[in-house]
Amino acid sequence: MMEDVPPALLLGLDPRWLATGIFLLTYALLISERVHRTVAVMFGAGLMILSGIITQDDAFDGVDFNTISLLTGMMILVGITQRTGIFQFVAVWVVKKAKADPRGILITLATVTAVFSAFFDNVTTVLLIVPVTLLIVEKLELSAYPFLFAEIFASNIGGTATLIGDPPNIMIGSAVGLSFADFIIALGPVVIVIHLAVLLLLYLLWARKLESTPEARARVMEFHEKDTITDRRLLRQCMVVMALVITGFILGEHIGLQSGSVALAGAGLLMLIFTIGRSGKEQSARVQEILSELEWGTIIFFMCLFMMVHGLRATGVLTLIGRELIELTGGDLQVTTFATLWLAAIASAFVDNVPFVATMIPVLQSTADQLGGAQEMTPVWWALSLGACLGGNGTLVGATANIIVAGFAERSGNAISFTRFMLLGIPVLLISTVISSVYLYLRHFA
Amino acid sequence: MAVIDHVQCSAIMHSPPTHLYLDNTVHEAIELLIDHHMYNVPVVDRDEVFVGEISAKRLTGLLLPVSLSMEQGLKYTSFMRENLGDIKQRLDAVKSKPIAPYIATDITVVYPDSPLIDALTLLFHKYIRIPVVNRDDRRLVGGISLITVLRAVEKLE
Repeated sequence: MMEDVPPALLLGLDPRWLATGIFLLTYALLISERVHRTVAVMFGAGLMILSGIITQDDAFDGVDFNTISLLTGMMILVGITQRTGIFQFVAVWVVKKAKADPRGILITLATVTAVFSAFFDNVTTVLLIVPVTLLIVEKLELSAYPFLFAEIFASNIGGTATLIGDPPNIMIGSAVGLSFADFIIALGPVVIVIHLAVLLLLYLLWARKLESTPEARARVMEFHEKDTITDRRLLRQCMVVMALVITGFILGEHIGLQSGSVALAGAGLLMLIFTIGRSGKEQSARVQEILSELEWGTIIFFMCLFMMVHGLRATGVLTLIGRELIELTGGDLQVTTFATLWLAAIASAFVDNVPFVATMIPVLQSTADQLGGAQEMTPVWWALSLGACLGGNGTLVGATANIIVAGFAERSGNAISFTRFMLLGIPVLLISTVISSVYLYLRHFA
Repeated sequence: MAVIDHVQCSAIMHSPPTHLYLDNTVHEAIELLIDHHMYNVPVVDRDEVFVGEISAKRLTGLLLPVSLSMEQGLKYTSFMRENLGDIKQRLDAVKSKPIAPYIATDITVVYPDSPLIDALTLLFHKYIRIPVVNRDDRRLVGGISLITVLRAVEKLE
């Protein structure tokens, strides 16, 4: 870890003040939303290097390539899998299993969203599930609001359950060495409880209004879910590769294989299957198509964010913040855990949880000695994960998936305003955080 | 040095083009499209100022469920079962509404003094017919299509 002040600092300024200034400026740009988030952190990372706080080599040392590989690998896996129509198949299948009853649809589609969000990224999940939902709701002649709200909440809650469900978990798992199985075992049960509690709230709120005619339900029951599958062979191949990847995530920790390597290897295998046996021109077109669908902006955002946070850590600013945090919590693990949970939940409702978690990880790591060592700190990491992921439900801008669904809602004539969302989002956030608090207490401190 | 006579859009444009008003209904737009076998019709306000176009694509969107016609909507729909009654029901719901919400406003126009090559390039890349509007008040004064250009070229022969 580089703690020394590097030479050639801009105008001889104090590196800590300079790094803090650059960081705050970048954060201000992120919060203002006047500059694209990738551009804002590119600007910040560039300033960290150009001002002499860190060298280019240091900047690249600060990038967590395990996180980058995991993100990229999963994007490729999802990009190919979604072509098979499996997401739509499951959505239509559960709707028919619920006999097209609106109350059943509310519960089943939200649960499908939560499960998919646990294994694929939340944005992809809502991009694929919400259009099917809107179609079904239109056929049933119902308001789309209950279903859209349920799916937003479910995507953020479901994403909390696994290492790969939400970027904050990927970062925490990678930085601290928590495995796929660790996440499922520690967060899976509480996520199920929170999902059920939120469903109950929505059910009590809307169940009475969810009535449709037998004719409308019959129209939905006429859907042929099997026809949603566009390529059965590719679907089987995707399922096999996804099973291998999940197995790799679970077993990898025992053989020193990091999750990023597993995801990239799985992505490579699926790309091979997707292109092999075709002409050179066709292979090239398919590879180009998949790679062009990668979210390059997100990948560059993460890389530059890591560089920027590394600059702040190199000057010792994050250690200082860590000391202040310990002063505030008195070095008590329980107080630090709950403070982290609530701070992360409230902050993530209003600001992007990725930069917040990227900053909090080194801050919390610097407090390990005062909290009894890295091993003892596990509850704090679960608190950070729960707070950061579930906090996204607080406001419309709390998570990218929320904004995506709001876009769909507006285009379908069911606009969701910031206030309207918050009126339900804040209670959901409070319920989720209270349940998380009780769970963490019972599991680690009772 | 010889001065080359560049041809401008005003020299060949047809005028006045068939158009709709913002407050015309969807039903009136459909009748015009059917009667004139047109795929896109310019739309003006009551001062004859160009505001956009209503296209066959936009009108087709009105026949579809919203989740299929919207941006990022469903792409594979073979699992659905629909009949003509379903389509008619959706059309009936919007038939008497004004066309204003359904027009495309991001239409590239040319001016009477624009070089013809500009219009021809637009026809090649994007449009079936290019509206010609006054540079100062954006009033619709004409239109240029491939047929317009070909007729002008034929006259030279």
